[in-house]
Amino acid sequence: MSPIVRKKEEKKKIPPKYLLLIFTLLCALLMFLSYTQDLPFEIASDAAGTVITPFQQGITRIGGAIVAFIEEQHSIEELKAENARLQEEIDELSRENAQLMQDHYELTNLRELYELDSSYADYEKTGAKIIAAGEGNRFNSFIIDKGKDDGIEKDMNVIAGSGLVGIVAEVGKNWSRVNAIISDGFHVSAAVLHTQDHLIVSGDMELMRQGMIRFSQLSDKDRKVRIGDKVVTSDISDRYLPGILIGYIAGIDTDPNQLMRSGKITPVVDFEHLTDVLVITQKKEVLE
Amino acid sequence: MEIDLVEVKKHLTGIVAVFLFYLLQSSVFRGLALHGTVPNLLLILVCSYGYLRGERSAMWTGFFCGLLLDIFTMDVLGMYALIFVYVGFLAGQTHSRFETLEFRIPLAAVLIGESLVCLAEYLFFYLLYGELDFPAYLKSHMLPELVATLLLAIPVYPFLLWLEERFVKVDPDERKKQEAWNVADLAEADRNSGNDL
Repeated sequence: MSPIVRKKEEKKKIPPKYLLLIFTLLCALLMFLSYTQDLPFEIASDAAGTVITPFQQGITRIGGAIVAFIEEQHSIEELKAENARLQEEIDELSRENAQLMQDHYELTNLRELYELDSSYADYEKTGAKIIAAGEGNRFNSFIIDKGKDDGIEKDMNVIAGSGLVGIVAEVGKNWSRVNAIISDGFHVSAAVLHTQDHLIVSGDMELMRQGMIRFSQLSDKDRKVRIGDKVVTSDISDRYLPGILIGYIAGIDTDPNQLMRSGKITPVVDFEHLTDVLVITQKKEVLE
Repeated sequence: MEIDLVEVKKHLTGIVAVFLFYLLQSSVFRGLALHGTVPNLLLILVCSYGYLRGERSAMWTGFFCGLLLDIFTMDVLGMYALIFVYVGFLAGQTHSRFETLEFRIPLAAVLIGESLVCLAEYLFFYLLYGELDFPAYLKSHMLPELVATLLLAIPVYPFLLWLEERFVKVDPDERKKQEAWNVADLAEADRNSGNDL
């Protein structure tokens, strides 16, 4: 009879309340295990990464192609107008270029002065594409398409263009997760290039929206640090290679204790439009 | 044991939806982000399934959605999984409590679920790190995300409903009637089968 069969079917399933309890315990166990020991979960991460990553790569590529196509259609008209404008600009730029060449010469001299000639241009780097960003709106981490197979290791520094982006936090088979310096609760030991005064750069929830990062504990006794000064990673950092540009000082306040100064930094990296990054395959401890 | 085609389709669509929605959220919506706000697509999925399929289904969906987020964004596994399982359980309550199909119920579930997720995020990721300024968090993160998720739920929920009705071929209304099968219905069914014979 149908009613009896039906009842049996229903009995086989676990009641939702118990299922909730089971899930709660399972999650708590997962949290505990993944917090205390790393090893067994790499397999799960790798499995998920191997399945998901190619799709993310595909979507990112298709998305990029679509955007490029639309932009191409849009831009033909604009290009003509722009062409004329650019011609004028070229003239102006060539004048500027002459000026910049002079500046460049000066820069080379200054670099020598600061003994920065071993700057990060010499580090071994490998390019990677950002294929996915972290959950929701805390843009504090993103996934890149290089992993263990490409020689990426945890704690490698990640840069884009000329500035520091973050650090590799987790490595999978063909992907890795990068924590960005603008994220909340993230600290980098840095120095002002001009005076070599040490300071701490840290991500901040409010400033993140404006694309800025906070700095603090700048001991600048002679008040020599100015707005616009370059901030680079410092020699005393235990995870960051020295001399990587972080950004420019955008505002300085003196702390109530009159000893330390703090303020805002504009990062050189445009975190909103980041698509490609460079991973420095040299690690800090190797250099020492 | 015979294979229930509807069950198979249900699981299949569930798995594909989790997979697809995660990809969309992590890659495509990142590019479309308005004002830096990304709608929480996975939450819409969990809440919709809670209403359409019930708490059991929603909890499974929530668990896997959360686990995916954990693997790709977190140092500690299980945090988002836990939050999403609870959201799934709560959203699933609407399945048995409300008899008729109504557009506003899953939207309300999404609203409440998203608020819970945001509060949990605040608790786990900000408060524990000493970030006490809740109004700032509310203004800069929570409200924009709530609005974005709710707006996106308006087209996404009907799509999921359409999938349930057309592909999985279960009319959720019908399902509900079946679950509330009472003695009178059974007696009538028996009478009918007797007549056929």
